Amino acid sequence: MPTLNNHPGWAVQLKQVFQARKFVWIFLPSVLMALVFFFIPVFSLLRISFYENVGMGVYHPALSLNGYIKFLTDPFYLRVIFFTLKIAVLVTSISLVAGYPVAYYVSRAEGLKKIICLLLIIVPLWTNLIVRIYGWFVILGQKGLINTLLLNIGLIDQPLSMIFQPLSVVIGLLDMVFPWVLLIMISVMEGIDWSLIEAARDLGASRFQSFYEVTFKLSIPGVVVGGLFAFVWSMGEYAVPSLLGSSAQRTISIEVADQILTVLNWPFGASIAFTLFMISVSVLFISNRLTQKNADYMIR
Amino acid sequence: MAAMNDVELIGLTKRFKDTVAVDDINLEIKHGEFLFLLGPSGCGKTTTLRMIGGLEAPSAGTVKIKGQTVNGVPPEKRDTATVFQRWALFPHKTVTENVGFGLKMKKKPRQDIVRKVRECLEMVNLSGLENRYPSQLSGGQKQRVALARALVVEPAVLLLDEPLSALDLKLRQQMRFEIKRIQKNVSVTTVFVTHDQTEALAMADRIVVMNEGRIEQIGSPHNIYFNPVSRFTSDFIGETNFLPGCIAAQEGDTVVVELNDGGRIRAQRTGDEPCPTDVVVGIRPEQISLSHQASTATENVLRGKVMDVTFMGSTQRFQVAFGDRMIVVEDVVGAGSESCWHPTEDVYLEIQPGACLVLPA
Repeated sequence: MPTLNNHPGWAVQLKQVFQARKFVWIFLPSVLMALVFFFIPVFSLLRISFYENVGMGVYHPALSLNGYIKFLTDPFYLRVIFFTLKIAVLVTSISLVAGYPVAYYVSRAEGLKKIICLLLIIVPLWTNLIVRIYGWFVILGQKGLINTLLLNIGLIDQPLSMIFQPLSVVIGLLDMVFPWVLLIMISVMEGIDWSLIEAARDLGASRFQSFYEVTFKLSIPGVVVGGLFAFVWSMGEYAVPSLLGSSAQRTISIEVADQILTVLNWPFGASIAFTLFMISVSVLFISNRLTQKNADYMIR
Repeated sequence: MAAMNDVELIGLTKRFKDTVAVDDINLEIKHGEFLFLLGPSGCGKTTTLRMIGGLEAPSAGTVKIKGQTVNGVPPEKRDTATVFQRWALFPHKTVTENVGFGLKMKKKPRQDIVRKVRECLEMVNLSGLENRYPSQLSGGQKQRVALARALVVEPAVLLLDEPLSALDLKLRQQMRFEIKRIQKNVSVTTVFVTHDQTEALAMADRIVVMNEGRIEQIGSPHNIYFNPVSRFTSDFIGETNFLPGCIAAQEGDTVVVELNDGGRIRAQRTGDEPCPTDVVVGIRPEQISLSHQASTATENVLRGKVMDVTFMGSTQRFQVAFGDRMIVVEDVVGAGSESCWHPTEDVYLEIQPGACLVLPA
């Protein structure tokens, strides 16, 4: 059958095309998109962060570190950084500690039970973010669901102030990140072979030992990725703290928006934005380093 | 009480919802014995093994290990160790950590663990790979790690659940030999589950043939192969031609069967011939000889027509039409000799009475 030799399969053809770099332009739209809407703006922001602010939205090209120094030394801004970190760490820890058993349960569930569990996690994500935030107004507000209920039962005389507090920011952020953290951990735990736990038991490990030695250790990548996800998102989230937080306790992202939109100090706003970016990147980098050994066997 | 049995199964039964996976099994396994549970998939052999290891709870019956009833004893407290079908090596642990796991769980001192792990790795020829992860090992190496991991805890009973099924043929044959060698060296009581009859015949001291949750036959490989007591065993172990007929006469130490497709077969009595007159005669393909000449004998000679000849290397196989069924004949090929049999040729099949098995239909 000579035709077979003359016409290699589509996979071979595709490989040849890539090797010949004939169709590299296929990637052009996505590269262009990233360039115009991501890299160029980010790069110009980085440049602006070193500029000298004149005031009233005017700035001069320069190579000044004033913005960074001010943000990282001024006690007011250090409080902002600390508050943001505190909220992010809190949200991350709560979502991991509360999410782990749930993820474990769902990953071991079967059939209809599993489908229902997954739907319960995913359906909230189909609702618009702002709508969900306003939902918390209805629940946590002065005349909201919880206050009305507690007042009516007579447990409290005065409405509790639960909204515009760090508490409401944490609740709002958990609402954002929790389903994603769950899905990430579930997907990793589902990959754990049940026979490994049987093997551990068979070799003399108790229920707890087999959980720790096998399930827990193998689920660490899921915990790390889920935790990073929660942390980075909480650090940078703008809508939740600006709508559910108090004006006295500001987060880094609110400060960025304020400097750029209200104070019109672009260089300072850009410095803050880049500091936030660097904090997130270094957390990603460090955790990647710490879990390198884990990643080694997972990839192979 | 004679020599103690390491494992005793009494009326062991396992039901899953409305199916019976294991149905009233009684079995005694002697110390140091290499016992095979052999049967097609779904015959309950793996479930039986899991009940011995404590990974599955019996619905009824008793499991005894070293004379002690272990029903309800969790797997970690049983003196058994399992080699799993896909080996179930811990992917996040090195070879050393995998093998040492059982000793670590039993809180053995560190030096002991190090020494025993080294000894075990030497025994399975894995020295030098101590710090590899399972993902960096070949199938055969993983298999050895799994074996070492189970042996290192010095179990009273070693349980192997189709440990060779994921290996290719060459490696499988090599590992058969090796596992048998190690089993004899350590002289650990071993239960090996497989659906591969050649594996069982090659390695076992004793084979338990299982079908639909029940024991069909127990015996040595030789005994199981040459004296199957049922059509199932005879068909499952090796290859057998079945010719239906009915018992015409019992004369001395032989039985005469009138075949439905014509012809008479005289078979050696084995003492436990079935009572019903409707029977099948089982004949192994290699026990039949072919000839051109019509024999004068009226018994144990069948007339057929060669339909197909297949060259198999050391042997050749014939499909011979007899009545409306096909009889498979296998014959050794002499070097240099061309096959002198051609399709559509008439042929006479001769079978010795000793090679004919009379089985219930």
